[in-house]
Amino acid sequence: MWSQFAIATTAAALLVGCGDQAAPGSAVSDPSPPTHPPDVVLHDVAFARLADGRVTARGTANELGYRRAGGRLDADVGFATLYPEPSSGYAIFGAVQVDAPRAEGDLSSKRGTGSGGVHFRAARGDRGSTERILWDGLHDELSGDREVIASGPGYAVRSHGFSAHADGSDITLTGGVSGTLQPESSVPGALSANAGQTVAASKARKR
Amino acid sequence: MIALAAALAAATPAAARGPVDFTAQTMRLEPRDRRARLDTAVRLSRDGMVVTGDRAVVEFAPDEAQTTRHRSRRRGRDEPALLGQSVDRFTVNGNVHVQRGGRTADGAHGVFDAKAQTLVLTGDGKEDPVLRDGSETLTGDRIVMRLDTEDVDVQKPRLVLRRSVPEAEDEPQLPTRVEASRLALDRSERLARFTDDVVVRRGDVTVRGPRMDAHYDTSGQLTTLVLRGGVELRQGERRAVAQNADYDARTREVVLTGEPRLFDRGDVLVGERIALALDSHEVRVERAHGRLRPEAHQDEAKAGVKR
Repeated sequence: MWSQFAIATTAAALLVGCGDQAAPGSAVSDPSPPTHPPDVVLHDVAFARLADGRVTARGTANELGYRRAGGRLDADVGFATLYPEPSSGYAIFGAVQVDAPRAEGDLSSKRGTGSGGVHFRAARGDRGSTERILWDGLHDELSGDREVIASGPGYAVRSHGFSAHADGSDITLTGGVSGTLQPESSVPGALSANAGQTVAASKARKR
Repeated sequence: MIALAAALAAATPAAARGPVDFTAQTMRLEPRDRRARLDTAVRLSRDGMVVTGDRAVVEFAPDEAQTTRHRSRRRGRDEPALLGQSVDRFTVNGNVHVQRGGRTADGAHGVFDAKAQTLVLTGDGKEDPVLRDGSETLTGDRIVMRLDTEDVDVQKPRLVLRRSVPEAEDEPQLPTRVEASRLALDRSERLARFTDDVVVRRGDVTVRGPRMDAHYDTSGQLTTLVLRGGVELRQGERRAVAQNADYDARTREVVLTGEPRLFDRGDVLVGERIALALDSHEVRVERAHGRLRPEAHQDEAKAGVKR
């Protein structure tokens, strides 16, 4: 689910025709702020990710910068709605809204970071937040090394980090975990996502 | 035993169905297997009961709506589940310790069944689970703690009744041991009901019967042991049989009724009521008739056997 956010952000660049210009990248994302201005900056970006004929994510960003060197993407105030595949471990959530003040990614190394306070809200009623999340596309894994707080119908949980397979097959809360479960909670079924088709739209300005 | 049952009866109020608080080092969610694994220093607490252990598995209940919706085309496969689903059970493994009021229990495995409102403790094959309440210690093959009533069921219980019989200070402490196939502790009735192959041992006295009720007073002290359904009592070479046996913890006397018969070497005594004082070994038979063979007891006089 989280990876879809990173994938969707990356896809936005690909959709406007920049992704195929990526230079061979290093194995690890460069965490330092880029010294050069982006080659392309997109403002008021809207994007959608489609897979197997269905929209799996769509969202917006105030600004999306792309640097050909390293195939690096930087987004400000990213917001996405994710529609988990019915067979995935996240399907129970229904549609999930994710936002982050900052999102960065390397197309070449398939790594990305959402930071500045990442929040999610699910159609089922779940809510959660963490300071930042890391996406490792090579291993299709997500992780976080900051406090995670989440709650939903009949539960609340807190940990000091997490790791997860992007397909939701397992999610591990790490670093000490605590929470509450209501054994007899009555939870309505996950709301089905209404995945309307969306096309990417942007105002591009080439620098 | 009395103290145990009384304590069970008078301890904390019946549990409400509140939330379960948990802590652990890690929590791994496995939606497709509909479970979550808690690992390292696991602690679960609910309504005054605390369970600790090395690791635990949380199993989520099937979602009724989804199960119905997909049953036809996904037969045999449950929908994925995550936090927020109803919980079927918690299974705690490794050094399981339970604390509930003044009562503690230990075992190798513990299963909290949310629907049945039970916590079942079992051992590892080498050591049996143990339930402690004050000085009383109860072991058995399987201890079932009922969370809504505080009653306890025990399979193959083995119980030492340390406080059941007040001993005189100048006499050696004689623990009373009880074994049976099953024990049910009824909180509301202040009753411990042993069933199937009940054996009570105290010093040289052994009593066997199909079932026995142990009654307790409000302070947790044993008042009576009531055996029914055919009883056999042995004390050394003395043997007695009857339909019923009642043990008075205060007088430490066993009263046999229901065609009681006493066999003591060659002697056979039959009466309406036979009372045996456990400490003095004195026997009183009401409306007695029978056969006495004094010659069979001559060696007792020489040896100074206490009768």
